[in-house]
Amino acid sequence: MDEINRRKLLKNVAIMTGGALSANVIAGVMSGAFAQDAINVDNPVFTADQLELVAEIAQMIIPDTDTPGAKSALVHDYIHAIVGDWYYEDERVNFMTGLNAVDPSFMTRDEAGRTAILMALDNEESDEKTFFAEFKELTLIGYFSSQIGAEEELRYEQYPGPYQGCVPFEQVGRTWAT
Amino acid sequence: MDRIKTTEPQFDVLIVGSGISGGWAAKEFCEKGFKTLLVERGRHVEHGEDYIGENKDPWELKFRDDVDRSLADERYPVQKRCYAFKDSTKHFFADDVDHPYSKETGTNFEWIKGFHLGGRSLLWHRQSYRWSAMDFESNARDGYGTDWPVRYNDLARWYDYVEKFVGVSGSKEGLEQLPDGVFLPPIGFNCAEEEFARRINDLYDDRILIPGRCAHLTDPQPIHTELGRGTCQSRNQCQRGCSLGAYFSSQSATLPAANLTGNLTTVTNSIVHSVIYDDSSGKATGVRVIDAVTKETKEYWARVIFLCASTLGTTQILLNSVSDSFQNGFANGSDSVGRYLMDHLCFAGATGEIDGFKDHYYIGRKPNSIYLPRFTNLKHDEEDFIRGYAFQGSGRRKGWNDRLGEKGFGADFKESFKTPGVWEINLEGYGEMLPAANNRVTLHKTKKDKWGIPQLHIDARFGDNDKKIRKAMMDEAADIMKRVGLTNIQTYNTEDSLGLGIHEMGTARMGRDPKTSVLNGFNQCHDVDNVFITDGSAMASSACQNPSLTYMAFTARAVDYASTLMKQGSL
Repeated sequence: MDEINRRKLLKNVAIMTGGALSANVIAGVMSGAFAQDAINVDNPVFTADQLELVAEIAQMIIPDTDTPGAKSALVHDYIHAIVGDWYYEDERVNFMTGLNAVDPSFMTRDEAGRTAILMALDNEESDEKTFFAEFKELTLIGYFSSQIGAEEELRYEQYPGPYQGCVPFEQVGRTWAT
Repeated sequence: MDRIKTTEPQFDVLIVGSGISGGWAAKEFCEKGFKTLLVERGRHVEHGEDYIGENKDPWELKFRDDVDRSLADERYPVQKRCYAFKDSTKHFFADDVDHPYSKETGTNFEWIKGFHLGGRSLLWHRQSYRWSAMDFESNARDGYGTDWPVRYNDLARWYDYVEKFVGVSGSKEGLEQLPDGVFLPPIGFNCAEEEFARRINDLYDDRILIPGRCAHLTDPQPIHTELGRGTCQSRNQCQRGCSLGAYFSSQSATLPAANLTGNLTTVTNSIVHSVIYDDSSGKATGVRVIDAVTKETKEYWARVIFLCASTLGTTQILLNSVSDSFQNGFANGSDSVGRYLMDHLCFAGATGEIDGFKDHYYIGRKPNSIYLPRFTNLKHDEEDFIRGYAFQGSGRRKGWNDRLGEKGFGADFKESFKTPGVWEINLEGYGEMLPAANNRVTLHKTKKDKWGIPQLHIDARFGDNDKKIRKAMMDEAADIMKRVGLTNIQTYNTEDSLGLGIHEMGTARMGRDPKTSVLNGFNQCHDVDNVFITDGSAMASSACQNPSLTYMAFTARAVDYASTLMKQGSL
């Protein structure tokens, strides 16, 4: 929600509560950040080349269209944080093994070439989750919970207002991010 | 030192615990003019400014609201199993390492703890249902558990009283097994829920699907706005805390009301070690407290004591309060303190998909449930189990997070997420767990916490009747869905979930006979008349409705009773 909307909300709340708004309430409503900050990775595990590869693969999964894609949404930083700071060692080793096994020519290929490499990965069958399935899952989570993914590609409202259970789809227009 | 002089009451009333029950006790006593001390074991939480997770957008949270996993695994191995344990809420859950308890080998009771001002009133799921005449008669009817010393009619006007102040949204339905209350407009159905309700109501004579009844302000009245409370904005992030005061909590409602009187004194970081009992007078004189930070001990004295420390918290205090008269725990002449631990039977049910409404959607994250009131064993026991269950649940359109494992990538793949998926309905059972003497909490013989207080040792498991209800909830949810035309029906029944209903009850139960129960019909200890217990430990059965509203009604009623005696001078 932008600052203008926050102020609108405060006004509405003030009307609802007869103007009796405490400083605490105002502080609470105004406390949200207004733009997505960079993601801080405490335990970086990707080299610069690996981070670039991650960013390019994610961008192939969620490219720029009428809205920005994975790279603009910093999905590679989100994946870096998950692999570096969230995963346990065995999971991290697993992920790095998968990443290192991606066709080394990926970065030098054109889009058709990259698509062919990812098609092969996407079609791999396995009883366990494949590297690419895991990568895609992280990409989707990272993207649709980013500010770009939530607010531009999908719909997101911090304060949706009183619940309306059945409205024409056009009134919302796109899937709710949360 | 002169004992009489040193234990002169400093307060009229001392309340232990500031959650749903303690907040109500504080409000009621303060409004009646009594000097009241509220003793809270955890830290202060200020309404608004201490809701540090509130208003965080997903991208502001590094792990997108998941808790850093090594932190969760190391410090919160129990709490992390709670559905509401998130990065934005974790500071309202007690650290399991600092607050350990012990489990009998082969059993697993998950104790979800909110140790701070307001307790779990900040974390609760806000579903608010009255118990019915049937529920207070059930123990007498089938002989399991001791007969309640109260009936629905004793409590009805107190339900009215608390609902009006709390602000409960709901619909009047005229059901005997789920009495109507004083309601604000309901947070109603969405398209799929409405259709699901229509089909159920058409097909069944004995079942009806209704909007959940929840403690959210949909149309705030002066009694709410005077305290600065406003209308629910459908954020459904309630457990982060709500600066708008749109859901009921101690912080949003009872504590501000109590503070307005000028009669409330609150002390935080004050862990009650035990109740002080005076053998000569036969009364409690106060409590022994350990400062959570400095570990210094002190005493507080009052004429009347209300224990509202949550079921297991109160039980720990009672068991740790030994004296010449009570060698096995305070007011425990019946040996029932710690016994009859119950939770609700949850995490069993089904999901299914419902066709249609592709051109419709909703606005808002609905913070309310749908509700299918109990329909089994209403008048007679016709099932292979006794008691019953209700269903709660929701309808929603599937979204991006239901599609994480799908094949595909690229522009069309990205575009496809803009359109939401099919409508899905979830029905989860809430079943009544029977009181059983062997489902028991004791003090561990050797293990203590860092304040030197013996740890609770919990030995509880589901009984045969409980397991039958669990299975029935799962099977019946699927059967209802099948009969009304839902597809892709998936069932679930998570047996390892005892405690995760977070409705623990029963360990200091009410009853008619002091030989078999701890409390009389006014939540007053049979053995010590100036001590009352009004949290979940007082419950003699569990019914299948969420219990918080009933704790509130019992608390307001007990305060009314105690204050009358105090004014007469007989207490």
